[in-house]
Amino acid sequence: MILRLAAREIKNHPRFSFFFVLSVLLGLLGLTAIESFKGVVQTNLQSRSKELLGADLELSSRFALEDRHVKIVEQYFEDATHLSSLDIFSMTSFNGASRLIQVRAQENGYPFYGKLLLRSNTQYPGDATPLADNEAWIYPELATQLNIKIGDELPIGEAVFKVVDIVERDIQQSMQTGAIAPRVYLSMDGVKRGELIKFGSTVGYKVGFKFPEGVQIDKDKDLLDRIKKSFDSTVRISTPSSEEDQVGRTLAYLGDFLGLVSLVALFLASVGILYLFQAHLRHKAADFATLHAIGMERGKLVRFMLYHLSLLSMFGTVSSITFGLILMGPLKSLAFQFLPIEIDNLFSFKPFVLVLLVGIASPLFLSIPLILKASYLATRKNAQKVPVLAWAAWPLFFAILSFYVSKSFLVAGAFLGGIIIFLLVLIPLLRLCLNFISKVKVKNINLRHALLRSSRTWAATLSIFLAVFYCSLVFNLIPQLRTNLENEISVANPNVRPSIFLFDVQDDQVEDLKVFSSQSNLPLTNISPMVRARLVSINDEKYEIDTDQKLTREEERNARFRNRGMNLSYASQLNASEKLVEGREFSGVYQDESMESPAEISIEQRFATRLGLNIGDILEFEILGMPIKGKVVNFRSVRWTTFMPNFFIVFQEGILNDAPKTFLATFGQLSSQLKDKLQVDLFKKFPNVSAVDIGRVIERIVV
Amino acid sequence: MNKLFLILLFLSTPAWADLHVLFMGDSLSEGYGVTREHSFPSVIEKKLDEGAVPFKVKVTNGSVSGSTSANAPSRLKWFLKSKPDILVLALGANDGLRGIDVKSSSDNLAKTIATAKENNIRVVLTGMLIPPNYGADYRDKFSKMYLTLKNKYQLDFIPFLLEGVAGDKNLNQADGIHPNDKGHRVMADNVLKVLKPIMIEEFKQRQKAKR
Repeated sequence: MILRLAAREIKNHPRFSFFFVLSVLLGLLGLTAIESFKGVVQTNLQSRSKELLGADLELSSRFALEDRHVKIVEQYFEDATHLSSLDIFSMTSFNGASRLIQVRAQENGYPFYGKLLLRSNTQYPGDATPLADNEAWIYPELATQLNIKIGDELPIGEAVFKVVDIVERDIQQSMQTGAIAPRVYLSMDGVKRGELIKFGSTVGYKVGFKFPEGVQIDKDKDLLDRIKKSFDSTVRISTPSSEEDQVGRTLAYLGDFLGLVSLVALFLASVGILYLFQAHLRHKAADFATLHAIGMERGKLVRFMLYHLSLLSMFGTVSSITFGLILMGPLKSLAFQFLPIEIDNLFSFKPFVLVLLVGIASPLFLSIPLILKASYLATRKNAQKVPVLAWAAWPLFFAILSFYVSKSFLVAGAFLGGIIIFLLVLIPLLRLCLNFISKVKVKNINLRHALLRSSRTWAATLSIFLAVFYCSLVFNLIPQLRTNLENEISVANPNVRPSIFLFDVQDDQVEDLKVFSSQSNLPLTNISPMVRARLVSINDEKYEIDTDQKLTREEERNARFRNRGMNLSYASQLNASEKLVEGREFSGVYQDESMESPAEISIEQRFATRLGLNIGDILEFEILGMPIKGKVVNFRSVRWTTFMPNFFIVFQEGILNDAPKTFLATFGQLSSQLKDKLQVDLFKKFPNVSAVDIGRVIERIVV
Repeated sequence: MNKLFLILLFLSTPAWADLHVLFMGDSLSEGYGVTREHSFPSVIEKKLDEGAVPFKVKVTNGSVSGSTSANAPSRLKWFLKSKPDILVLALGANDGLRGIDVKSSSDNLAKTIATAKENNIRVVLTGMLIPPNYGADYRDKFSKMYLTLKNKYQLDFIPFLLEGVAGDKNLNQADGIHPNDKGHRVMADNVLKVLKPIMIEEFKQRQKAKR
């Protein structure tokens, strides 16, 4: 009967019902759309990370992986299936030219995730016929550079292999190795036939594991740590999250922002709902008193109000989900214009469950104290106070929700902190202002009325003020977010970014290279010196780590990082992909003839954070036996996706110029025919210079 | 004071040293992944300081990770200013691993050796073996390159820098390529075995020439 009454109440108050449902709908619409969008991006990134790795967990080592290694993983995951693969560098020759290649062989069916797309319009694993022991698939650049056609035979190791297809797309192409040497796929039997593995061979061994549906090792850090500790440091353990790339990491910015937008939308809607419902209850106070007078108990009265509210919330939530689903399409096409990844239409129910929960629980928690208050009033128990818990329920719910939605302590903390600061600091101030306003004598009656109303209903005024404040904050953040996204994840315009990256250009080859470039009418750009050095100390504290003592896996990795030396450069100013973040620019050319004063250095900001550096710190390097000191004068951000030569540490001009060095350089935008010709010509004229086709690498990474 | 002069002053053979040995190599000599003191040239320097030879030797490690033989001629020119007496030339491994044309590597090393000889520097050439996976043809050409250079220029020769180290898990870092501290100690012993008599001979000859 109470439910029927509640339903009739909706019919009897169409205007209130409409605005209430509209508030819930609009408040949740942002959350629905944003959560769904985030869900889709997250699901895609997870599946992409799996494709990059090819498995749920992968063991890799330069030493042969044995059954005992596999058994360690199987101890934890009995139902896991595993397959092996290996990578080997080798040489091949064709038409009188030789080329370094990276041979990859994998057991049939591997990788578990991700596919190779072949020129024959087939996929592996999938409808492509697996390789026989005398067959090979090759990368297109190898085919072009050596003029290889399908059906030709390539010598690799001690055997000859027939090229049966060309690999058009390979998500597991890595930037480091694949760029130097084009990949050739052979079968495991093919590797045996070519006798590529003998004592002394340098082989990258891998074993990939596929876990039953639903097992996500990345979520169980303890288990992952236990597995890692079961292996010595020669075995590397990778999971999909360790393969997450720049795109995945930097999309966190977008996630944070969207989380903030969700929270603001929800907060605004909550403020709206609160006042709407409060007004409604005030309006209904006499009716509730009458209902009580004719025999409706207080408990039933509360239930009646709760049912009424729940029904309205339900309508609002369902409408919001419906609109959210409709909005998904346009939102995705809009967002993917600036996201450099292809996203499949994967649908996830999770966001809708969240919205349903929030849509019903939030108005309920928000209105419980109001309902209790109204029930006390109707039953003439005015003196009875609403329990503190009832008032605290919604703020608590909202705080938990903030952390859940933003998935970031920073964003949620900043948002909630903002509200608390507002309540503690600004409210007394604003109340003072409102008091002052109420005393101002204004002749205009309408203005006078507005001012008086604002100061008398101070809580409402302050809520609106807070809501407007957060709205403005979100709008102000949009340009900042856009800049961040552009800087971090959007790959530079193909017309501007280099197409060929050169390294190991010698000092005495620079001029010849410039001549070669102008004679061939090719745009040689970004010629950057590179000096190899060891970082010896930071503020006189030793930087290198002794490795002759027993180190843990992590300590060993850290020691390798610190003891491997680093590449320095020098420049007079920042290049187009760099931006000063903190400190000042270089003062000019280093002038100290005694070389006693430290030279000025600029540090890439993330590298500075990793090393714990501050402006003014003194770093001592050793460059081929010569100690050189540098003082940090600035931190700079680097837009790595421009693919320009960039360095973590850059010295001012004048101190490293005489040191032995090599150069990095780039060629600007070139057609694919020109690129292939250039690589062949470069190889002939400058055999030591390695040329990396950036365009092909970017296409494989981004698509 | 001129900056270049200061650099030379720092790098040049100090008055206390009777002999100056320059190591010019890649990551294997630079000591990639281990501290500078544990790289094999530094281990050799320590052994020399501790009395492995009855005279004072200055050791300079002019090795650069990732460097190929292409960098050798200009690097040697830089170090010529410091007047080394012996050059341990340990380059070529990266040429091989990157599949660089053997003729080009050979030309670069030959140019470096010729420059050293012109400047009265005794050259100790260290050979490298290319892993079998690069194929017999490339591997043979690469090994022959060192032997040809050794014979052509009548050089002191260490056939394989990583003798007894390559392929041994206990002597290498997790990457299976770069020696660890123990591996560098083995390399130091191997190189010193060849280098010690050369240093003694060279010391005597230079002392004689001074007189």
